[in-house]
Amino acid sequence: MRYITICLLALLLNACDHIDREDRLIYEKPVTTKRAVLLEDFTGQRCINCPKGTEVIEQLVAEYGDTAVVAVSIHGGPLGFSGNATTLGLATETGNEYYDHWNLEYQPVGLVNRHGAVNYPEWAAAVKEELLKPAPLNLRASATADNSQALHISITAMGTDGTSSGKLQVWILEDGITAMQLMPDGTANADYVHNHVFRKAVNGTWGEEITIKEGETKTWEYTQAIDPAWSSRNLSIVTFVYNDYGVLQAAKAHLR
Amino acid sequence: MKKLFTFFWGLLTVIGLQAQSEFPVQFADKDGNTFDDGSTLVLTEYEADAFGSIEMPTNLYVKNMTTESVQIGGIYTIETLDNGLFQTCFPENCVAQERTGTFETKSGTLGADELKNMQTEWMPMDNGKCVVTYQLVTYKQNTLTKEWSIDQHGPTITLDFTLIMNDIRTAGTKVVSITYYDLTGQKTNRPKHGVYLQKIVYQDGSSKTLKKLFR
Repeated sequence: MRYITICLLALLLNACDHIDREDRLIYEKPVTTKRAVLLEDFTGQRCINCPKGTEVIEQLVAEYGDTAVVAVSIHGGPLGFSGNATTLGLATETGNEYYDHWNLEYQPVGLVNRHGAVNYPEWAAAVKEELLKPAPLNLRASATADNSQALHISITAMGTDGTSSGKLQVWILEDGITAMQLMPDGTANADYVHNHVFRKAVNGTWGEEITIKEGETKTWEYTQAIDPAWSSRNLSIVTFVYNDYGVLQAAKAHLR
Repeated sequence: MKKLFTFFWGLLTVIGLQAQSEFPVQFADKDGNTFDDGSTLVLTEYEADAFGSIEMPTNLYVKNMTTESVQIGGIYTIETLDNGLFQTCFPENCVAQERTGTFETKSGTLGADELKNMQTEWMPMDNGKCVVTYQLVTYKQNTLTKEWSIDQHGPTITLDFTLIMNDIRTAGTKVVSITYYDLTGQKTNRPKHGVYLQKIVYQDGSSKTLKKLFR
């Protein structure tokens, strides 16, 4: 009996040996940050009700912040205006391509994390619902300007839940553009200030394929020439990862 | 038998007309005077918009005849569209169509006694015609899904646009720019009420200056 007790004590003491942190088999999950929601507002300078959509965006950004609600005004579609010799237009070919791709039929209309068309009175509810969902990865963006000639953009993604596959998209936005806008009362406002206006897709219209595993960190670097028509101090970067099930995560960074 | 059939047909027509006049929303002008069901608006007046394009507004309104808010929308059939876009910003969203067909607007709320401008117009690119039949509808909400679906069909109006402008060049001679000047010669991007000079520059280098009245 004495021998058995001694053996058991020896076993117990042995079990208490120190094991290095690296050698432990218990997996610690990466910390997930809050989800940001991408709100793509398909708008147009000829669309008299579109300023109503902008008002909803302003309310959402005031409530949640512009890094939680990443709003992008994409000018295009039949009520977009590309400009002429006398009037500045904000519609782009890429914006028109997005409008057509999503089979949108009216304006203003939004995509909230790319789960289908949402009419602007329902944006707030859709954004709130998306904000509550967990995100499988974290995204960080930063950008600096090089003497107003070029933008140097850095995007970092970190997988936090399983393996995420989709496309990484990087866009350039501009705030504070004064340009003509038709207003809900039927008047034309030449002094209307347009914010978070989509300017350019940095890495192609539909982004680039990425796969990121849980715990893995990847970084992408881009250089983008600054168009002389843009005001570099008002530029910002929006990045997001999306797949057939919607947007997995989004982030926004103002130019430093 | 034929007389009996005619009597019932007439009775149904009267009931139908009465039903339309009791519909909660009606087409109206800016002063709230309602149009009869089946009316046709012949539209020939045009103006320049803020972007230098031509537009033919309808100045058509919708009036809520009740003291309660109503969920409304419209169904419209574009029968003829020679060129350009037919645009309607009613009740909450804007839609611009560049083809013939039947379309439905999104639904929206019209407040009690509210008179709402339909902001509906033809944006032509050239001389021609555009004919659209517009019908008002009311919506009801599914209590479970919260989705709106058409409840009742209301009055109809036909918008018959015709553009005859002598200063539109033949197809192929594109307009490069349209600039506005007030009568003092000051350039403006935003013509308001009054008389302005419109300078049109064409792709072939030619130009034309017209006097335009903005109302």
